[in-house]
Amino acid sequence: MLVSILVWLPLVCSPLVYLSSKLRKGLPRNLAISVSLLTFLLSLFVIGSETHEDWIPSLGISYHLRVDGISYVMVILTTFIMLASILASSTEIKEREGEYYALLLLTETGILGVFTAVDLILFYFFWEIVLIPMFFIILIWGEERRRYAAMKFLIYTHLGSLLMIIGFFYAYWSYYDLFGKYTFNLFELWKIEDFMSQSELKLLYFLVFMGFAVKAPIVPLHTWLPDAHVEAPSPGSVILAGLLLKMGGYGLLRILPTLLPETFHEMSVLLASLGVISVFYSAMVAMVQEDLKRLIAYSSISHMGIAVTAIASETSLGTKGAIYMMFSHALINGLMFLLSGAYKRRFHTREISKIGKYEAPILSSLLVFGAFASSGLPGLSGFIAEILSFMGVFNRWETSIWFLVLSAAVTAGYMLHMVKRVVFGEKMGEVEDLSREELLPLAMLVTGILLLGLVPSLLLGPLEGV
Amino acid sequence: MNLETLLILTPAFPLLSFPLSLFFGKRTPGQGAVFGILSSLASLITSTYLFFFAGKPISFEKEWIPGFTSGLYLDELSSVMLMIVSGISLLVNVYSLGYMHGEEGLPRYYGELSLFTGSMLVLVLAKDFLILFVSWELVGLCSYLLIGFWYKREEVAKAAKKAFVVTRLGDSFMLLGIILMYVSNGTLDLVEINSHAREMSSLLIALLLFSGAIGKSAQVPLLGWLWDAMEGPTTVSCLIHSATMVKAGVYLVARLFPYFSESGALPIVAYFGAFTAMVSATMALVEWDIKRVLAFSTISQLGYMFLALGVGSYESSISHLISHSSFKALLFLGAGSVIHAVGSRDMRSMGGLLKAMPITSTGMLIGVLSLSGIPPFSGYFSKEAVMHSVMENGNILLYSIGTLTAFLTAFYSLRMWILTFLGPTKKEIKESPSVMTLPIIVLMVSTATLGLFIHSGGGTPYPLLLAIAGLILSYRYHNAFLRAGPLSTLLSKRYFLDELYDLIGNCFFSAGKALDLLDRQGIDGTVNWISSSTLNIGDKIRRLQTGEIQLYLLLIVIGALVLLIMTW
Repeated sequence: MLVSILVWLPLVCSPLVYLSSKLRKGLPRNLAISVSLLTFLLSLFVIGSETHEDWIPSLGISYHLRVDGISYVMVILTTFIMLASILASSTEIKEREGEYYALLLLTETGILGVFTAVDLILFYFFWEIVLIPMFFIILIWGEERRRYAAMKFLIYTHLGSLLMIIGFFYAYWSYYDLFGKYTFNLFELWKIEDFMSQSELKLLYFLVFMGFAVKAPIVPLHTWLPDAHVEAPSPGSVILAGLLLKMGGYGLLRILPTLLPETFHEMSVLLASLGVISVFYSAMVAMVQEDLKRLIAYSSISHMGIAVTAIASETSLGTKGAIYMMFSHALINGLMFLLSGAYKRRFHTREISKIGKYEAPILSSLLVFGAFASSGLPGLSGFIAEILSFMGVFNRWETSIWFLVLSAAVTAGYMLHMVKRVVFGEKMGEVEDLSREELLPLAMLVTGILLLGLVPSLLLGPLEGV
Repeated sequence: MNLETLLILTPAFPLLSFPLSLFFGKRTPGQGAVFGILSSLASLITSTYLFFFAGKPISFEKEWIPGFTSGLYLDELSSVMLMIVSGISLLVNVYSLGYMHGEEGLPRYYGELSLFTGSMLVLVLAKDFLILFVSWELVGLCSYLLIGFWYKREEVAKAAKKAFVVTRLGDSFMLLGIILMYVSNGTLDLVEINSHAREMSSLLIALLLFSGAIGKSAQVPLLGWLWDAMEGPTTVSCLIHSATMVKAGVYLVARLFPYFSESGALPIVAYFGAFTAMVSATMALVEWDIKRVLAFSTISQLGYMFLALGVGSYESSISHLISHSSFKALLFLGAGSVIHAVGSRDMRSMGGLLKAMPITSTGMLIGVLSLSGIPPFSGYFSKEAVMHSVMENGNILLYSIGTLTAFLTAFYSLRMWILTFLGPTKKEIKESPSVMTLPIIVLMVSTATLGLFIHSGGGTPYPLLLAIAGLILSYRYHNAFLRAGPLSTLLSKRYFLDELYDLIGNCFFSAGKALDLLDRQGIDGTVNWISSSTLNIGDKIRRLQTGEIQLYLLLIVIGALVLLIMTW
């Protein structure tokens, strides 16, 4: 029951938030903050909650939500990141506040649904809900090339989702053919695997995989991401990187191996290879970016590559590492995206060569912090994520992909190269440092990064037994 | 208070001083210096107590990452290290009162010094690889932050980045070694690994771990960052060289000595050490920057320590580590005192400072003689111990490299002293204030007396004879190597190592450029092409819908015919 309340609460409040804009300026923001704070507090207690009702029994579609350890972690991530992005919005969003906050809350419902749904139709329903508000957020509040980026985001990820739903239906019909019963329950459908031919399984795997791979994203299906992230308003980028990518990761971690355990195992070497390519390819591309936000966007793909490789390892450590990586990456890249927004507001550009001329001690300290966090500095969340992921990967493959560890050096290389150009060097004067309003969400993220870096049991506790 | 609490408190003092100094330093005397001095003093007191009263190894364990026990462990080796680190940190903190006086950003400076000290204290106490690696990386972070302290200077930015990235490269191999250790043996506990060294030994893992040591201790080929790191404040260089950073690599091999010897990696360690010792000594022959001479000498002396470990003499390596800490700190603080007075690191703008700076020049002379291995100073005894063990090992090549390096060392160190203190006076200057000379005096005393505690083994006269020859030749012909034509170019260009690093960096950068182009034009180009051609097709199809009934009828007829033919 609790899980239902949690998932629908933001959606129910969303029209109220929209309408409140007619009353007074600033009211939608305050309402949205209260709702997201309430959702966050609620989400802390949601572990173990489950709801199972018939929805369309004749078609075997049920309303089935469940929160186990993995879902719990992802749910908390969602409510936390949402709260931070809503807090970070006021500095950037000045127009059409009502619509903006209403859309954000709608997104939250969608993402929470994705992370808790057991029924595949329900999963798909939530999955697609997320797309629409994000599309509008980029389109309306984005930057110069927002139309192009929004359309690309919508069409590209939607095509992936289409393949995925075709895959779901394929599994659904196959199940009906075999057992004479309709069901979209993930924990039933896997039984089809023993009865299908190799080529049928590969096709099914491919269809479902495409949906997740586009979202995660895995190179070479990633090019929607830099455009969408760069053009979105910074809180939107935080949600894109922090939560939307995680939907892909969650799908790869949860849906695909549950649906097709054997095939997933067979394909895991391929998946790991794609993951490793993502890691290094995007790191190299990130190195030469001139736009701060674009650099961070590519670092996102690189970090998700580590998560994907760890997922492919199918080991307990790897799975934990991948989840840790997803959580930590959301915090760190969220921090970096908000910082790049802060630079943009001050200098009206994000070009790395131009934003370093003036001093702002807190702003640049946080940038250094973020860069080190991103490079996996011990004591911060990224380290635990990396070491667990690496252990999982090497547990399975020993030294065959030994060079994966070099990613730590490469990331440090491009991050510090960026820091060198922004923070170091001759200064021409001072610029206004971070305001209280800007600092609050940043402080939330920094706290998260430190807590997860110092007290790993916070996150690994709920994942016990994974 | 029990010993376990003291064990935890020792690194806790400076670690706590870090946020205190950072956030409250502005409002305290000395802008945070008070936290730095008091915390390192407290650590020094607890570590001295532990050194004398611990008796047997103490350990403290706790689960940090669920599923892995982590902890602290104190034995003889770590308690000696504790004293060195906290002692030198105390001296550096006091010395900074004078040296850094009036600088901007002092709370940050003292905070980072404390974090540096605290991380190194954790490093030497680490019982397992997780804690070791965490503190190892934090030490790297602090060196980055402190080398970059004067962040507005262009060269500083490059030096700090280089220091972190080059050592990180070594570290990532080390991380691989750690993970493989866990994957193949199921444990990360250093004590356990040492006691089961025979069953767990693997040459690959030992070499991977050694890569981390190569990076941190600036051995060939990851040595280029250390001379660039001289861009940082001299106090920081002192800390890096004598206590907190470069010793970590030697400490790692020493800590895992049983493991390294079982896995058969020691000969490789020896060759790396000997080779580095000689190569870096040659670079010092033609250097004009006083701090860089000291940097080369550190690399070279670290090479001796690895050489000693490599030939199986754990004790002599640690002796040399201890005595080096003392005389290198002395030399750096002396150099700092000179730089503070002259306002430059270039020895060509120094000279004739002997009378004006009596304490500094005496201190530096003792340091130089100790570094050259002249009795009765500590360096003589420890270097003698190292060379004795190399001789016992019976490898002629290693022995001759070590002996030749002793000659080069004496030559370049006296050259440095002569250029700084003798000759015509170029500037009117005064001796540094007593907060700076006091630490120098303390280190003079320790450098002069430490030798009493070192058992040198005695034996071969060659290194000493060659060192004396080096001193004499240096006195007469101290710029001889500058006139050596191509050789001198090779040396002053430091074997083109910096160029090599830049080349590697540029290769990466060019590859990045190429991939970026591929990304924009190739991959994204394909995506855009697909979408635009879809639009085109859609457009053409749209044109078919002209709204003319005749055309539709025609198409229907054609379609029906096609169907008929196909089914027929």
